[in-house]
Amino acid sequence: MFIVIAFMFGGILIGYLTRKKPFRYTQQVLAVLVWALLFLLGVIIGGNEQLMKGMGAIGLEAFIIATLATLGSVTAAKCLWHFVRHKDK
Amino acid sequence: MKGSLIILLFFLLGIGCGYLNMLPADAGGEDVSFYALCALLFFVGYSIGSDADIITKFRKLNPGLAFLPLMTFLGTLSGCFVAALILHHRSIADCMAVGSGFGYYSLSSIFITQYKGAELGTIALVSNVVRELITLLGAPLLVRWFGNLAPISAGGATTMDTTLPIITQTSGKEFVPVSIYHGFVMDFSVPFVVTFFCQL
Repeated sequence: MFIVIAFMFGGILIGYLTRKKPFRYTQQVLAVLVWALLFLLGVIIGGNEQLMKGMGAIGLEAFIIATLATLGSVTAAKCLWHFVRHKDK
Repeated sequence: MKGSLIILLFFLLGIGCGYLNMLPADAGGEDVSFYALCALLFFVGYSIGSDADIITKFRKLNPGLAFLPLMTFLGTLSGCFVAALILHHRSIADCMAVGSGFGYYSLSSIFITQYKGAELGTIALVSNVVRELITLLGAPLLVRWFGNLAPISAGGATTMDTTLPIITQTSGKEFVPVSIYHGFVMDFSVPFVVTFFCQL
């Protein structure tokens, strides 16, 4: 976890040092890496027998909990967003 | 929306390849995704560092955003409470234990398997993977419907690593510090909260 964060700080430093002549394709590289990461997550899930078998019955329960949990949190986040923006105005 | 569909396509392609064992055993390993993640975060850092206006953007952030982890926590548990009402055979504490993985599927599923057995552990695993996927695939829609903080809240404990790039793209670079702070607090709380609900 902390190694990953260290990479980000390394990126910030190099980005800052080269800001006069920035590398222009950062967004494209980011998009490709996000695709690669999701592909790899898929490979890990697809290769996990226990997970793939559980996708039926257990999957539905898991999906319900995940969806409602996410819905609850984004609703709470919306309240805070309104509050924060209201104060800014 | 087009971006999300491409991401979904790659994800499904990955599942297919993993399921059919089309890749050599090491290729889909956690190691490769770790390196990809490091590269990803390096470029997220790079895009922050090379942005000359970023300091002013950080200064404009409201101190009220410090409460975001608390909102995520309360919102998630309310959602789990509703889920427990729908799933009659699951107790409220069980649903809350699953939900309080906050997307951190590896750790929460290990904890829950140990305290509550493999079935609930697998539910925790799938459920938290789904939460991460909802964040990764739905971030643009979440921003539109629930505001810029929504992908951060939805990402839960993953907002300082795996979902940070998508948050950067959808909420904006100025939300990166909030996202890291949020991920750190949620990450840290997962073992305690999951254990608490497992023992109720």
